[in-house]
Amino acid sequence: MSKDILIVVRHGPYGGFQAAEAMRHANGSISLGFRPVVVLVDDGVYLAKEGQEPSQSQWLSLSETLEEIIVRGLYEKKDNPAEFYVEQESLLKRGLEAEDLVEDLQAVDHNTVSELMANNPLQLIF
Amino acid sequence: MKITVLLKSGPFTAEADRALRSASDMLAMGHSVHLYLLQDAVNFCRADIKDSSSQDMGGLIDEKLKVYVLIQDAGLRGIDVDSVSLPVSGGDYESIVELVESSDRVIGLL
Repeated sequence: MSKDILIVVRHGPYGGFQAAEAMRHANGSISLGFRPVVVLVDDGVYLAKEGQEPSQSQWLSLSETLEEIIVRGLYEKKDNPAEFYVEQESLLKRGLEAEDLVEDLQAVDHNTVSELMANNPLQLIF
Repeated sequence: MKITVLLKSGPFTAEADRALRSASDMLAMGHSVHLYLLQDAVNFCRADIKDSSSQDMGGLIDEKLKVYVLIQDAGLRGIDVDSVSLPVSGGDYESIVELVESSDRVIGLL
């Protein structure tokens, strides 16, 4: 059984390194045999928005990176798949709905997010 | 479970909102929650700041949230911890280490 690592993403994809680092750690954790539990909250929910167009800017569209990590997490470890959540209240505050997001994210309320934070001994907050 | 939340900004920040919301949820789950205010988060102790999050903190203290303030950071910002109206405990860097070491979970909203 692989060890769980909770990765909470609070920052959006542009203007800082935190979100990209979160994706790097999530991807790396799979490679290292961990089972990531990724939770998008606050501006972190913007990572999951489809149709982002960073074009020629210095920034990457992390939604595609997130999709790749979700595919890895769900299908490389079918017997013990990773988990991917987005906080419902954070979506509502930003005028986003589940259909605006990449697939295979589960919307949960803030109580569930807090429960994940309380229950996971190994966690990273970006 | 003993859970410590470290917060370095507030009261008007997303980090502070997240810290208070998480603390509230965890208190409701029956955990013992400790909030340590560092850097700009010590501004929660200012009596002249009244916004919804500072009022939330007062309510959470009533629900047994234990709040600590780094005396050095408070002093830098002109706050005398001994004269703060909220029931908070002043501490030094050693007190942070002791709290972190004695906690089952440490959540750093830094």
